[in-house]
Amino acid sequence: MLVLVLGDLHIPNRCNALPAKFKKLLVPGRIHHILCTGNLCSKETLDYLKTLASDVHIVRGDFDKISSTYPEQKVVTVGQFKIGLAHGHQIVPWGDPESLASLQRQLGVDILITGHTHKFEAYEHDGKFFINPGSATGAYNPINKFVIPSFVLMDIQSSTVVTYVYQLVEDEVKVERIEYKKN
Amino acid sequence: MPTMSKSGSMSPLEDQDKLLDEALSVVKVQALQMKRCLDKRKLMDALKHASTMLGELRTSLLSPKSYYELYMAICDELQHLEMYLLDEFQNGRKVADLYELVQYAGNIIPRLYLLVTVGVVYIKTNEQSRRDILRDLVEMCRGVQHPLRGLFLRNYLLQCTRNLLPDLAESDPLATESYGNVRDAVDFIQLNFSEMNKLWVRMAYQGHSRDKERRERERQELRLLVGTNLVRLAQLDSVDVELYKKVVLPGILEQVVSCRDALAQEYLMECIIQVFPDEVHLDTLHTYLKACAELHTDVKVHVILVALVERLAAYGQRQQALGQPPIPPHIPLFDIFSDQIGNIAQARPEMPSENLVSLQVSLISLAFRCYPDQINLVDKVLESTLVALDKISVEKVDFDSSLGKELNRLLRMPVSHYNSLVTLLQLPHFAQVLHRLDYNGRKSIALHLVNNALDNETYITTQEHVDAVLNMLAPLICDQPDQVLTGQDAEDFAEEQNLMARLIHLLAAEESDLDQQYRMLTSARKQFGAGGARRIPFTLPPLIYEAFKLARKYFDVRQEDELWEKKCEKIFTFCHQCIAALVKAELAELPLRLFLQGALAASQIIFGTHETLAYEFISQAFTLYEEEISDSKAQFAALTLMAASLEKLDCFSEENSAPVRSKCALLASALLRKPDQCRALILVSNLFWSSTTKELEGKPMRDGKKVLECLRKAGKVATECLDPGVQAQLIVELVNAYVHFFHQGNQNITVTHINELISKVRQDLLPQLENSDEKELIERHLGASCDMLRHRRDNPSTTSDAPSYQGIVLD
Repeated sequence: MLVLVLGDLHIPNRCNALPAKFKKLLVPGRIHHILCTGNLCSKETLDYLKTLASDVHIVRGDFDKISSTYPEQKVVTVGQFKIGLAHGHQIVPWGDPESLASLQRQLGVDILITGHTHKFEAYEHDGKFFINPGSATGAYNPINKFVIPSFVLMDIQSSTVVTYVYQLVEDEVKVERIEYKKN
Repeated sequence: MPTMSKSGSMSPLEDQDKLLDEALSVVKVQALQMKRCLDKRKLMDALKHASTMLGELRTSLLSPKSYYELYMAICDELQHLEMYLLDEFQNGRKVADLYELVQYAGNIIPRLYLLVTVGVVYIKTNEQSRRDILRDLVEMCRGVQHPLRGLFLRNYLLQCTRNLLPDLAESDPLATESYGNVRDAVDFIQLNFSEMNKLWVRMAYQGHSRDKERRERERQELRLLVGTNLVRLAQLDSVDVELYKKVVLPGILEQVVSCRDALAQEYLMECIIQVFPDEVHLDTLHTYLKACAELHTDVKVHVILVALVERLAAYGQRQQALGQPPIPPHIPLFDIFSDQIGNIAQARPEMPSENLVSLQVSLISLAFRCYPDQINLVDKVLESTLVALDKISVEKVDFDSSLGKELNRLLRMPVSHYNSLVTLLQLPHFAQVLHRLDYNGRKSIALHLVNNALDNETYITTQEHVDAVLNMLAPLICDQPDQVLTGQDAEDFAEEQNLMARLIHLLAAEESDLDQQYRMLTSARKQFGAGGARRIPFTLPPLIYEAFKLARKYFDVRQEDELWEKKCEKIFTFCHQCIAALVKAELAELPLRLFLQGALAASQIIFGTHETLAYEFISQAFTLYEEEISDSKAQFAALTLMAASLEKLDCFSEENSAPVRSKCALLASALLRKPDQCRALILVSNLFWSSTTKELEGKPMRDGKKVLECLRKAGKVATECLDPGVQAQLIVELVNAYVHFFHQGNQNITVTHINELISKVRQDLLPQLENSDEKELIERHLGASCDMLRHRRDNPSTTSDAPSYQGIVLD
C-alpha cells in the first residue's frame, strides 16, 4: 500500500510550482492514499493531488484559510497502522520531539506525521514513528535558511512501514529508505 | 417540373437513373454490334455502330454526374476500336483515307470522338505527322460549344493524347518540323485549357438564375476536367524554369484572369500551386502574386495565398533539413509576400479585414519556418497588421468577431513558437496589436501568456521587462476602463489571480544583481497595488515573500555590499507597507500571519535596526489581533501562532520581550472559551522556558517560576470547566505539560504536582463519566502518559542532573 506524505507547498504565495522532477515521479494510479500536512494553499494544488489518488487526507496549515473545512488534526488507519496527521504549527516549540510525542500519546497513534518546519525528519521515539515530510516545493521559511524540497512515500506492508524520502538536492532527486516495524 | 427545352435543363433526380439506364443500354447494344463487325472485319459497319453509340453523348438531359458515367462507359468501348485500328494499320492499312472518312459522320459529336480516336492511331503509326494532327484535333474540337459536351470531348482528347505530345526540347534533333517540340505540346494543352475553361465558365450563365446554386455545385464537380490540363502541363519533362516563366505560367494566368469568374479563378490559382514544383513558384512569385491582385472581388485571395505560403514554408523546412538554406538567398521571399499582401489589400479595399489578418498569420508562419533567426520579420508582420487595423475605424476589436478570432490566432502564434515571454518583448508591436483587442480578448491572451510563462518557467530578469510584461497582462492585474461588469465566478477569479501570484516568483534577476531584484519587486508592487482589495490578497503575499528572500540574500553577501543594512531595512519597510495595504483592504488573519513571518524573518538577519523592525511587526500583529479578530476560533488560531512565533524570536532585548510575553499570557486568559484559555496558557508557558533574549545570547530563559504560574492558571481554568469530560481531557494534557517541563529540569515542578493531577482525573473525573468514546479516548491518553512515566520511573537516567521520577504514583 503506497501512501504519499507531503505538505507545505505554499503555492502560489511562496512558490510557483511543485518541482518538475517531483511531478514526473508522481504518476496517477500508483498511490493509494495521500496524507497532506496542509498549507497547499490553493484549490488548484488540491485538484492536482486529487489526480494522483482519490483518497486524500488534509489537515489545516497556518496559511490555509480558517474558513477551510480541513480539520486541525486527523487519525487515519492504513493496514495495521494508526497514523496521526497535524500540520504542526500548533505544537510549541515548533518541531520539538517531546511536544510531538505528547501529541502522539494524545492521538494514540503508531505514526505521527507533522510538517511546518520545512525540514524532513523521520525517526523512532519511544517505539513510535515520527515523520515530517518537509516542504514539497522547498518553500521559503523565515527560520529555516536551507530548505530542501522533499516528500515521503510510505510503503505499508502488514506491520512494516518502509519509508522513502525524496529530496531535491542541487536539482537531483535523492532517495533514502528508512524502515519501521511495529512492535 | 421537368423541362425539355433546348437550353439543356436537366430532368429531376428521379429521372436521371432512368435516362442513364436507357443510354447505357443503347451503348451496350451498339458496342456489341461494333465488336461483332470488327470481328468480321467490316470496318465501315463497325464505325456506323460506334457513331450511333457516340450519339448518346449528344443528350442534354443528363446531369454532369450521369453524363460522366455514360462517358466512361463509351470510352471503354472506344478502346476496342482503337486497338483494332492500331492493329490494322500496323499491318499496312492506309490511315489517311480513314481520317477523311470519319469526317463524314453525320453528327458533330460522334464525328469528333471518332476523329480523335483515328487521329491518335494515325500519330501512333506515323511519327512524322504528329504536330499537324494534334493542332488539327484541338482546333476542330471548337466545333462543340455546348459546355458539358465540349468539356467531355476535350477531356477525351486530353486523355487519348497524354503520351503522344511532343515532349522534346526545341534543341533536340528528334524534334523535327513535323514531329514538333515542347512548344507545340504547350500550345496544344494551353489552347485546350483555355477552350475548356471558357466552356466551364459559360456553364454559369446557362438556364434560370434561380438554379444558380445548383449550377455552381455542378461546376465544382467538373473542375477536375479543367484542372487536368494543368496537370498535363506540369507533366511535360521538357518544360524548364525559363519556359515556365515565359510561356506556361503567363498563358495560364492570362486565361485565369481574363475569364473573370470567381469559382474558376479560385480553383485554378490553387491548382497552379499544387501541380507545379516549388522551385518554379519561387522564381515566378511576382507574376503569380500580381495576378492575384487582379482576380475577381469574390475570390478568397487569402485562401490562395495561405496555400502558397504554406507550400513554400514547407519547402523551406525540407531544404533546411537537407542542410540547404531554406530559401535561395537571391529570392527575398518574405519581402515579396509582405509587399504583395500590401498591394492586394490596397487593390481590394472590400476584402474583410479578418482575411487580411489570416494572411498575416501565414506570413508569420513563413517567417518561423524559413527565417527562424529573424525575429524582426515577425514584428514587421505585427506592424503591418497594426497599419491594417488603423485603416478600419474600430477602436477595440470584438474578441468574438471573425477579426477578433484571427487576431487571437495571430497573437498566439509567437507565444507558442518562442515559448518565452521575454523573447516576445523583442516584438515591440506585439503589445500594440494586443491593445487593439477588447477586454475579453486582451484577458484571454494575457492568460495564455501567463500559462506559457509558468509552463516554460520563463524568468523575467530586469525591471524594464517586468514593466513590459505586466503591461501586457494588465487585464489580470487591475480593473480596465473597458471591462465588462458581469459577475465573474469567484472560483475563476481566484484561479486567475493565483496564476498571477505564481508568476511573481518568476521575477528573478541574476543572482549577482540584488539591486535589480529590488527594483523589480518595487516596480511590480506599484502595478499590483493598483489591483484593488479583491486582487491584492493574492498578489501581495508572493511579493512579500520574494522580498523576505531578497533580504536574506543581502545578508548572505554582506561582506561585498557595505550598504546591505540600509537595503535590508528598506526591504522590511517595503514588506511592512505591503502588509499594511492588506490591512487597509480589511483583511486581518492574512496580514497578522504575514506580520509574524516578517518579525521572524527580520530576527534572523542581524542588522542594525532588525530588533526595532521585528518589534514593529510583532506589535502590528498584536494590534490586528486586538482590533480586528473577534471570532473565538480565529482568535485561538491567531494567538497560537503569536505565541509560537514569539517562542522562536530571539532578537528582542528583555525590555522588548517581557511585555509581549506577558501580553500573550493576558490574551490567553482573555479568550472566550475555557478550554481555549487553558490550552493557550499551556502554549504560552513555553515562552518563559525555551525562548531567549538578546541578553541571554541564545540560552533558554528557563524561568521555572513563571512556567509554573502559567500552568497553575491553566489548571485553575480547567477546573472551571463544568463538563467533567472536557475537564478530564484538559488535565491529561496538563499532565503532559507538567511532565514536559519537569523532564527538562524545572525544579519548581514536583512529582506531587503530577501525582495530584493524575489522581484528580482518576479519582474525581473519570468515575463521573459514562462509558463513551470520549471516556475511552481520555483513558487511553492518560494510559499512554502513565506508560511513559512508568518507563521513566523504572529506567532512571544515569546522568546526574536528570530529574527523578521516584514517587510517581501510577496505580
